[in-house]
Amino acid sequence: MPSVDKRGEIVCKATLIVVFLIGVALLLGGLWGNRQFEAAGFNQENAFSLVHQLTGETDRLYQKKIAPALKASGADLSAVSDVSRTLLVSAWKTEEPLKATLQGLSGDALAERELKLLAMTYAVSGPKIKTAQRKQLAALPQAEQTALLNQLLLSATGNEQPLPGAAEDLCKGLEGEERTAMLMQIFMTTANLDGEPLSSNTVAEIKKAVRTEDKRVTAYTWAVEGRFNWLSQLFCSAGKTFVLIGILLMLDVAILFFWLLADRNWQLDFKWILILLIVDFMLVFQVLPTVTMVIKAFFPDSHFSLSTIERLYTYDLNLSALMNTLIAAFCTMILGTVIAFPLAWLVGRTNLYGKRFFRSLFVLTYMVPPYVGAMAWLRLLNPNVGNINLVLRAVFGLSDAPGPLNIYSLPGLIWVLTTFYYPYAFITVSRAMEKMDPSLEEASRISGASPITTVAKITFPMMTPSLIAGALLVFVAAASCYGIPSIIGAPGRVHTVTTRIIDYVGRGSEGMNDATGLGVFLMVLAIIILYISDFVVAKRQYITVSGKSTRPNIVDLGKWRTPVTVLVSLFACIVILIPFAVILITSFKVDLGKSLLDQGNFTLKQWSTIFSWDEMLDCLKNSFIFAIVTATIGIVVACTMSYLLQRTRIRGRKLPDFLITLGSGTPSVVIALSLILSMRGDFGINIYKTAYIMIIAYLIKYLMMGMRTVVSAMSQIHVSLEECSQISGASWLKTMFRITGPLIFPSIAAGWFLIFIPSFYELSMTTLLYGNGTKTIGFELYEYWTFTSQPMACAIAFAILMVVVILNYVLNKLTKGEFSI
Amino acid sequence: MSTVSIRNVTKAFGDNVVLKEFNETFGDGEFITLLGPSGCGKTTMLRMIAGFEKPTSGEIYIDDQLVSGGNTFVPPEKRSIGMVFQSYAVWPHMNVYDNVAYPLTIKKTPKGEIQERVGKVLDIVHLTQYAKRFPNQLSGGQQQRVALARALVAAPKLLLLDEPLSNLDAKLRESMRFEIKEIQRKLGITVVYVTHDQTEAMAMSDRIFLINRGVVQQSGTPRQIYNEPENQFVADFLGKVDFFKGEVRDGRIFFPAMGGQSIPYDGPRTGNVDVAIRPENIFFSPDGPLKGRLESQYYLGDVDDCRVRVGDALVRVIASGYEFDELRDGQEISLDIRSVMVFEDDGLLESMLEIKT
Repeated sequence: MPSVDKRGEIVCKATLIVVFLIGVALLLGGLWGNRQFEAAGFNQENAFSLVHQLTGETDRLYQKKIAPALKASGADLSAVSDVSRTLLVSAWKTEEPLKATLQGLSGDALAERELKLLAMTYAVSGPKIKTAQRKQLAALPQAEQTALLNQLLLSATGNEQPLPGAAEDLCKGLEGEERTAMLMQIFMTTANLDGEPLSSNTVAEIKKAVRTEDKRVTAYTWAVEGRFNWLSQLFCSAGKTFVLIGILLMLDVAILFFWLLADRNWQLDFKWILILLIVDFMLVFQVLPTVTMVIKAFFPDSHFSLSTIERLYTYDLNLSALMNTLIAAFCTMILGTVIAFPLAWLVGRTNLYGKRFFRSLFVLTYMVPPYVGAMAWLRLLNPNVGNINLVLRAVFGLSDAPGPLNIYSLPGLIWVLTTFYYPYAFITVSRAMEKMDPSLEEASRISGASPITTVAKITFPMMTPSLIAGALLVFVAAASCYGIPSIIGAPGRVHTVTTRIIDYVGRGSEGMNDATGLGVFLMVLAIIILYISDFVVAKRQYITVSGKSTRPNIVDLGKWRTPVTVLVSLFACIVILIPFAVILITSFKVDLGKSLLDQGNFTLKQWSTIFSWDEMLDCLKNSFIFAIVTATIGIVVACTMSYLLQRTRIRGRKLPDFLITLGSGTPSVVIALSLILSMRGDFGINIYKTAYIMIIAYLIKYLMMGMRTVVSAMSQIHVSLEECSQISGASWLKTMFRITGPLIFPSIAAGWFLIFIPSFYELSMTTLLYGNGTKTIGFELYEYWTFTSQPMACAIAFAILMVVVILNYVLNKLTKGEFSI
Repeated sequence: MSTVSIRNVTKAFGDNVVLKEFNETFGDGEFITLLGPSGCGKTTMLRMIAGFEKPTSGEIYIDDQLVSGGNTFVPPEKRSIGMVFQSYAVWPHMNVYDNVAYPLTIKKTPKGEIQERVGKVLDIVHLTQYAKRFPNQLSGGQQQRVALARALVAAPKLLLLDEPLSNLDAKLRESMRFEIKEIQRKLGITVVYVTHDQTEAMAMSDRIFLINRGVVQQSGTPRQIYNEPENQFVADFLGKVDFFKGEVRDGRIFFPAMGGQSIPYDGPRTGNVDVAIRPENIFFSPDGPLKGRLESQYYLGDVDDCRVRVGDALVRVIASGYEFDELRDGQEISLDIRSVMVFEDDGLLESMLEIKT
């Protein structure tokens, strides 16, 4: 049907053009508005909407009160005009603006404008009338108020009238112009008494939005001239936002245009709107901020200069932070991988006792906030009072001097990082091992290779790509970790890039420049590694599709079975059980240094505080709300994306996927830093220190976890299942709800939790982005640990741990055992 | 050139007994097929011979040497067996040459000898020009040959094949069938072959072991088990067959379902029987003992597949496609029977059908 196609093409092209033109209009309007703002010198952009409001309000005040009083009193118009003019000049301390705005006016119009200006001036910054006297004036009956207005006008124009007590009190002792000013102020206040015109709210706002007197004068004259209608005030009061929206619309149209051009099919598709919405979100909150950060780093004073970079990298403290970060991340990567591979093999391929238990135990660590581990190890390896050090000293009869082990050191940092990040490699390798066809190993055995040779020659080489991917994951995670180095590094003067960045941000605008320099380093590091693992290693991954799946081959450990199991249990004890036990025990202590069993050293105070103290409950509530909102928005996006990726061939579906991957690969500290730089109004969005900025940061960081889960679940469901439902007569929507939805529900639930849990206890981004009303439980814990009470921090940590474990259990039940973290 | 003796081997996974008292000896140079429906225990038997599973009880001997049983267990790598897996299990990180050379490399065979032997075996499976390719550059059939070459390269005395042809397309399957048989003849090795495809089993085997629910139903040459099945399951599993309930009386078998019509019988059975008739053993004959009406026919070129209504029963007849020029549906027709298989009516047929549905 070419005619239908033709019509679609016309509609499509017309829509594109219209949207583009709207974009251009918004951009130009925004630019104009922003220029107005800059020229006006107001402090806040909303001054323009207030000016527009004042136009209307003064109009009403004049029509309703002032004009009738003028008429009724019979005061001489020119006298009123003269008096007002004199008062304005003395209040403004300049005559120029007044001359300009009154030019060419006479009679009624002149008096009207002068009186309106006076009303605004006195409302904002006139002679003060105290609230008590205002009340007295307000207490006068309506008729007397009207009479008072007339009397005041006459008195002010030299025709003295007896005034009621309240008004007379106010004028007592005033002479000449001061008295006239007070008379007019009483007049304006009385006229404005029933509250309707010139609202106190507007007055208060304008005081904030325009802070200097001369600029306020400009605002008054613009209001009285009615310079702004609703449209122009809109452009002026949100100029930057309009510029941003305009650019986005134009960009969207441009992207769409290229897709359509490549498709040679000029038909609009609803799905593109979804794609572009996600793309726009990521552009504004991820690409724009990071670009801003990079620009700030290289253009510190709006022209190119390497001074920031140079200053940073020649300063010893920063240089050592860089080195520490690289060394710690590298060692953690090696150590973590060396631990992860044998564990994954033992759990996945041998007859180790309690394999399933160990598997979920190791994976669970993945979901524990890293700073909790740091706290535990601090208690264990503190050079003076660490439990392990005490034991070692007792056993080897060492002196009371500190040591022998010291957590406040680079090796200490590496150790804690390793115990918390080896699960990244463990999970990656375990998954690959589960997917590997066991007959590949059996073929090696039957060819004459022993189990060990088989591991060395077949299993290990086949796992190499996954192993490298897992190792790189550990590297990035360790390099961009803030929680652990901030707890262990700071007291030991072992700085890392992340702790330096947060230090710098804490120093205000001066430090901000230096923070960007370090942020750029961290980001470049992360992007390089993301590129290697996603594009180089992923291509080498061996796809081994097994035919009929047999039971995974179990390597019989033989006589080694018991010793190896003991070894693995020991590892689990050291890495998981002991640290968590220390946290729990510490949470009941009064005095950190004493044993829990000492007289009077046991208390439930910390625990009762958690569940009773308002501030704590507020933080807990914040954490829950932020995490729930993040996870819910995230999972909706994740489902949309997985539908687009798995079920459509629409052009451009990979673009949001790419941006989301990039976002989650960016170190948390960098995300937060760049959001601070760009979301304080410079680009038309001002959400600094609000809940929005937190949720946006969490979304950027954790969205991908949920998305990958849903995408992989959807790829497992053959399209024919959906097609069969449609052929049976179900609509697309019904098919989604009755077939696809139930089939991938476990993954949707899992994806939701995977976003929820890290958002719930997030620390590094929260540290940079929190405001007074948006403190979270993770941040509260951190503050307790560093400033107030370590036992309290331990109690919070254990509470968070319990939330994670309970949620994991719920997830397991909800998905009938198919998923747990 | 090796014998495999299996003595009373039983295998259970938990409470689930998958193989019951398997007791058999596979002779030197024999081509043995373990045949049966999926889940019958045949693959488990093969994996026990290979050493990937341990018998719950019983012993396995290879060349009179105990490999599994009692406290003895020889791991797979010490058994000198060649094996081809259903999924081929060709290692994706090695090229064809390295895959095939692997068993020799493990044995630390000198380089020159490896080269010679790999060359030879690649020649046998027609893969010489693919030696440097990686598995992802090979077709399914070629990967299958790599797996076969790898299994043969160390000159094993025993070759195990686990449904090696099931992932290939029909044409390739047929040609590989003969190639494998040819290689076995040439090398004279003992082969244990697992399949659920009866045509494969018939075409290649010296002896077939038909297994169902963990129990060997019958063993023998293809001819024996096709023509002289020991029970209804065997008759049903191999080839096409129709079952009818009958009663032996006065030297004849009467079929109640055919309106009491009968055929002559001089066998040993009496009373109620299950009669199995292969459709190729029924033919049209003007003075045959069974009278019926042609209900439908499917002309397939080489044969004419007919259904004849005899009384209430529907009898399938595979007639030669050239025998009759024109048969009309609804035509009255007489049938004669070349041979029938008669079993005691012991309820096995009913229990068998129960599983099927």
